Amino acid sequence: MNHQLNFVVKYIYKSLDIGITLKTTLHSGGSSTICDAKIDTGSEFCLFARELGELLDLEIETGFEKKLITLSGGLKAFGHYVELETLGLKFDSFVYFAQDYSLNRNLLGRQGWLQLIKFGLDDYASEIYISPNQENF
Amino acid sequence: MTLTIEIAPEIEYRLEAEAKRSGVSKSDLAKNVIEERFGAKEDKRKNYMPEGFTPRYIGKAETRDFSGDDEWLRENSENYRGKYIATHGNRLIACGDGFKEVATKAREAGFPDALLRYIEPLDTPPYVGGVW
Repeated sequence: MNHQLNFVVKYIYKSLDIGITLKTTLHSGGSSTICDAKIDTGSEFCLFARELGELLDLEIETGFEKKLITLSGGLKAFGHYVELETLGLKFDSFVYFAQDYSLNRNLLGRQGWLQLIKFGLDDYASEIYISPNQENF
Repeated sequence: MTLTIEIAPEIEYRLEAEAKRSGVSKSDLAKNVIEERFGAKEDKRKNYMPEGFTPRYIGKAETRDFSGDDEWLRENSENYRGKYIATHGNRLIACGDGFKEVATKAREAGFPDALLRYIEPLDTPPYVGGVW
């Protein structure tokens, strides 16, 4: 049995990059910042470098505190409301910023991004497809 | 189903004390304990969003063209390994040791929409992802 999905965005990513990387814009208040972020289906939520939150004028430690476990150990992060934009689709979201300055990778995880979209991947062809979830229209 | 069971006085005493502490009747407490032990386990997904907040799709957004930024990176990344950079089109706006530093320089140079990137050193271990 075949199944067909339709998407509004197709994007060809650079296969030689480490991970699958998307340009991501974060907005909060009147500030915004544009960065690279990696799609990470193994991540429960979205996590960004602390400095990016500070560039949005967020008081990082006033956020929703969570202790996280990563493959290389634990870290603490704080959640904040932001508008998150990738591939021309914008969402009201809630993402986490690391407490430490050492994190230099940004992750697009499940809660806050993946669960808001329908997502297709053809890694062999370096293609991703996304659409906003119908429930979120 | 109604069940009548005999329990030792010592157990009854502990049940009574716990029920009193929890503010429920002995029979309700016993019922809860049995349900916890034998009831169907509900798989609850952990929620990392604040209570009452539902993320949502806002709409399409106008995004600037990043092809120039990518082209610049392709041609120049080797010279900036381990550095943070800000680019705008086919142009390096700032380079430094942190996102904040390069973003500040880019804003001062009139490029608030510069793309901020960390260029990983060649000996960076492969990324295997996962935060939970």
